[in-house]
Amino acid sequence: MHWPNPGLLTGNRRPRAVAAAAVRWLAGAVLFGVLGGPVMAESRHDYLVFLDAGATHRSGDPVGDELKADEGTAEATFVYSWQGDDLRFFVEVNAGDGGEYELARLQAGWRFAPQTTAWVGRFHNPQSYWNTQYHHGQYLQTSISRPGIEEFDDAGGVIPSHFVGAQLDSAQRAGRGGSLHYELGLGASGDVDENGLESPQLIGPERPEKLTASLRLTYQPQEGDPTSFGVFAGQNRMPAENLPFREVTQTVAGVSANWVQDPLRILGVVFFVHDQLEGGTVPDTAGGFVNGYLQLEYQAQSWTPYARAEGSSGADDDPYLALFPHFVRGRALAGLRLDFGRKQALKLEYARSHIEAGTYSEIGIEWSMVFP
Amino acid sequence: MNRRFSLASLLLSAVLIANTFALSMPLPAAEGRRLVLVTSDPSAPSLSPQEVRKLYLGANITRDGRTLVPLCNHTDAMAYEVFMQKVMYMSGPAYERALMTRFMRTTTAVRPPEYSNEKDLVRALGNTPNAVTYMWSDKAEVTGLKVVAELWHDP
Repeated sequence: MHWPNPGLLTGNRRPRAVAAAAVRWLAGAVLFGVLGGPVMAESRHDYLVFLDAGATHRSGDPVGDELKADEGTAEATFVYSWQGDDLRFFVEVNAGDGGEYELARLQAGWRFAPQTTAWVGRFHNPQSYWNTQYHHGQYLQTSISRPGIEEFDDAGGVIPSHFVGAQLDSAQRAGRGGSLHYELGLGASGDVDENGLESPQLIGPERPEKLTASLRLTYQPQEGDPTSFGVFAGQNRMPAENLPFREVTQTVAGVSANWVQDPLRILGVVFFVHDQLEGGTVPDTAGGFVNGYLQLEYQAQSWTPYARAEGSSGADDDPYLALFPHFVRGRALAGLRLDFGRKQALKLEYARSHIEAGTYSEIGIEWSMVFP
Repeated sequence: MNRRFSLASLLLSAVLIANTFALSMPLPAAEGRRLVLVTSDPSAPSLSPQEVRKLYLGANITRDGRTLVPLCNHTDAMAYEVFMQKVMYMSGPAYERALMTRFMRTTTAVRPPEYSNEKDLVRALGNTPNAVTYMWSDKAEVTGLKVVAELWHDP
C-alpha cells in the first residue's frame, strides 16, 4: 500500500491530488481494519462480474474512411461494494480485449445521516441518465449500443462521463410512498485534445484539469420502483491541448423519464448542451445543440423486442462538435434481446446512424452475462 | 430534431414486433394454495403486499424500530414465479436486472441473498434478525414460521 505524502493535503491543493490522497487513506483504513472491529462487525458486501462479447458489421459512406467495417469487442467488468456502519467503499474496474483496463469508479464514503453519504474518489458524472444507471454493466442495458450522447468520454463521447472529486448522495421520502434522490458532484473533469475528451485519472501522468460541478434530482413515485423522473444540470470546464483554443466551458442540462409498466418500458432523455471555446489563436466562439432519445421495450417472457430513436438539433452550429467526427447525431434502431440460462442475454440489433460524414447501417450481435 | 428518420414509423414497427412476441404466460397450476410472507419472529408485525413489493425492490421498511431483511426463496420454482407475477409485477429476469441496476446506481443497495436449499433458507430466517421470505402456507405450517402477510391465494 502506498501511503500519500502529507504534503498533498496541506500544500498544493489541486482537486485530483486531494481526492486521490483521501481515497488512498480511506480505502487503506477500510481494507486494513484501522478503523476498528465494531465497524467491521456490521459490514455487508456485494459484488458482480459482467462479461460480454460482440461483433458489428457496418456499411455506408463513412465506413472505411471514418469507421471500421467489421469490429469485434470483448470486455469484463468487476464491481465490489463494502459497507460498514457508516463507512462505504466501492470499486468498478473495466477491462477490454485489447489489454487495456480502467478504474472506472473508485469511491470511499462516509454515511453521516441515515440516507446521506459523502464520497470522495472517481465517479461517473451525474450529467446523464444511461451512464449512471448501467455504468459498464453491458448485461443490464437492454440494447447493445448506448445512445450517442451517452457514449463514455474515452470512447468518443462529447460530455465528460468521469470526474475526480467528491459527491454527496442523499434521499428522502416524497409524497405518498415516493422518494426523491439527489446527487451533487464537485471535482475535476478531464481535458480535450485533437482526439476528443480525455478522462481524469487517479493514477498515471498528470494532465491539465479544471472544475466540474453537477446536480441531479430523481423522483420515484414508488420508492424502489424502476419508474423514475429526473432533472440534471452541470458545468464542465475543460482545458484544451494542441488546439487553437485554450479552454471549453460546457453547460449541460437535461430531463429524463423512465416509465415501466410490465411488460412495457418507455425511456426518454433530452439534453441541452452549450459549449464556449475561449482563448488561444482564434476568436472566442460558442454554440449549442439539443439531443434526445426515446427507447421502447416490450418484455414478453424471455424475449424483449426494443426500438430507439435518437436525434439532434443545432449540431452543425456547435464548433465543439467538430472535434467529434464519430458523434452519432441521429439514429434509428430496432433489436431483439433473449434472456436465457442463469443471467445471460443474447442481443441482435440493426441501426441506421448519422454522423457528420454521412449515414451508415450497422448490424450487431452480442452475448453478455453477469455473475452471481 | 433530426428528420432523417420517421419516429412514427419506428414506433409502429416496434409495436408490430412486440405483438408478435406478446404471448400470454399462464401461471402454473397452484390449486387452493396460498403464498405467504413468513418470519421466525413470533412478535413480528404484519405487512401489506405493497410494503412487501417495496421491501423486495430495495426500499427500507422499518416496523416497530426493526428494519426488515428480505431473503429470496429459490427453493420452489412455482412459488418464485407466483411471487414475481402477483407481488412484484415483473418477470424474474426483469426483477434481477432491476436489483442489479439499483446496486450499480446507488453503489450501496446490497441485493437480497438468494437461497436454493430449503434447510439453508429456514436456518437463515432463524439466524438473521428481522429476516422475512415468501413460501406456500403449507410449508410455513410445517416449519413453524409466523405468517406476516398473505400475498396471493388461488381464486
